[in-house]
Amino acid sequence: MLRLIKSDFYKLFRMKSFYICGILAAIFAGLGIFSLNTLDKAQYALYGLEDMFVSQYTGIYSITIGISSATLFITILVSMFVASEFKFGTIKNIVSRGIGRAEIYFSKYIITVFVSAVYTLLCASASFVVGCCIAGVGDFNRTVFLDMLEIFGLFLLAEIAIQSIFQMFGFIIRSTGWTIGTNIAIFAFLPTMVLNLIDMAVNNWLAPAVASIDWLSSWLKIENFSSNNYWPYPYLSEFTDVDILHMDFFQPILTRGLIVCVVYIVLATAVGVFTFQKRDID
Amino acid sequence: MTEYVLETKDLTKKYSKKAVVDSVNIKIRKGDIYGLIGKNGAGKTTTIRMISGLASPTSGEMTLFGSDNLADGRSKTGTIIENPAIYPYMSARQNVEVQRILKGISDKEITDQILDIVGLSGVGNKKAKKFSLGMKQRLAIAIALVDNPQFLILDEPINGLDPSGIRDVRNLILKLSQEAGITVLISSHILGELMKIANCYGIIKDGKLVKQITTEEMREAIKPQAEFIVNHPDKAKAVFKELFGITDMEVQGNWIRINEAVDKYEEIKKCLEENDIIITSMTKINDDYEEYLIKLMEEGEE
Repeated sequence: MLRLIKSDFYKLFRMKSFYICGILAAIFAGLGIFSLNTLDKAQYALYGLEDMFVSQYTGIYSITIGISSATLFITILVSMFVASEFKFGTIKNIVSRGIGRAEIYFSKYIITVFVSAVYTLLCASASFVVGCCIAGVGDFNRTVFLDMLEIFGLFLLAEIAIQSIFQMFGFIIRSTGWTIGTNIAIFAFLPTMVLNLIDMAVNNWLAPAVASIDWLSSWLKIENFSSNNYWPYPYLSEFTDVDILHMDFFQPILTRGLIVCVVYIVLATAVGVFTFQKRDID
Repeated sequence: MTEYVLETKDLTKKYSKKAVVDSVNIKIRKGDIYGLIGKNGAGKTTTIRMISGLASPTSGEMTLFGSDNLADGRSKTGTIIENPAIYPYMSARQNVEVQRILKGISDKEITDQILDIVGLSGVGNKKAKKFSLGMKQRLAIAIALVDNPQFLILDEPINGLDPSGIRDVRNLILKLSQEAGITVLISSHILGELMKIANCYGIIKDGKLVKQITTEEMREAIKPQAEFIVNHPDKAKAVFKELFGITDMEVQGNWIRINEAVDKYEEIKKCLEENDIIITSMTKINDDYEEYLIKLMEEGEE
């Protein structure tokens, strides 16, 4: 297993895309902070209040905003890394040497976690630097440092949950273009379109139907159902809010988010390993 | 006792109830170059994919190196299936390095040694995507050779190669077999090429292994003969017997038919002439192994 992981890292470090995507993620994170600050400033100027403008984008605060730029690039790289083994046919060189398919899957998983961590750190660093240039470092002490670590850990968990799904699709689809396309579509459109449709269907049709059946409504109550709560993507932003760490009001969200992320990691990995083991390799 | 590197028993693969490989029983002896032959779509690649672990059999069993621990057996096997499987964004050296690391070989010199064997030591940092098909094929063989496999499985390794590429791959396979004693399973539909290296054949037709035959058995089955009409039959008989050890022959007047050593046909002709025997006519009969195999491929065993 260790040899397999080593060879996967060897491949990763020789992929130009690994460096290009990393640089782009960092640039986007930095640019994002700069753009947000410029927009804020422009809004003040619109009302003639430019003299009163004080930028909130300090280095520390910018980190919590900037890390969200990592997801798109992690998605692209993970999709490419997994699906390219099938595209180039090199997966055959591994499987035909008697290495177990579950081991191959987990080795790729470690790369996914590594890429997620590195890109998140890159985005955090870039947004921190830009933030420092705009509004200084900001309040920084031991508590803030620990909060940042916790936020990084939580964000990474949500990121890994999302990427577990994308890795699973990589192993199922097995084509670089289709995998990247599908994963970006899921990343970009699923939360806004599909989940809203599900919410509409549940709240408008299923909830009244359940309520109309006496024996069912006595133990199943559907009120203001939101499928976003059961999908890890929203937690990428929920987990970057410092308040979630300290305010009791947010504790149920934190708990639910942790459960959702862990469930998605386990489910996506189980489905991915199962399908990889069952399907033949062309 | 004969040592088999691969034995399959009733190996079957079905897609939507249609058997593309049907109860195939292959036995490959240690040291053999085994040619798996059949028309396109006969089931060669599917059989090889099952042996390599890329496809799971619908039914049947197999052993590698006498054991049913297939993962262990496959770890001693090098494989090329259809197109060369290489990382195009890496150099030849890096491609071999990936496999070296995967196999846990600490000796980095092995990479250069293998590249030397396949004649790719001089390509430098050129990316594999810029290689010719022949170079890609040799690189794929290099990857398969990492960790000194005892068994090489090559599926259509000469597909798309130019004549010099075909010759290079053929010579490489022969070298590996003769010098390193590697057992080779090679599939191809280019029969002429396969016949230059293989010493054992499995003929597959419509998913079924219609015959498994060694070169010696094929010679026995075909019974190649040569007929001569000469001016001194007694003298010719003596030449056949003393110089070539031929005893199985028929003589009627000036006409002689030999039933052995037909592969030395040209040598025999030369010796007869050197002994002042005039050859009026000479003909080879039943010596076309290729025709025999094609017949088996097309018609199955009679």
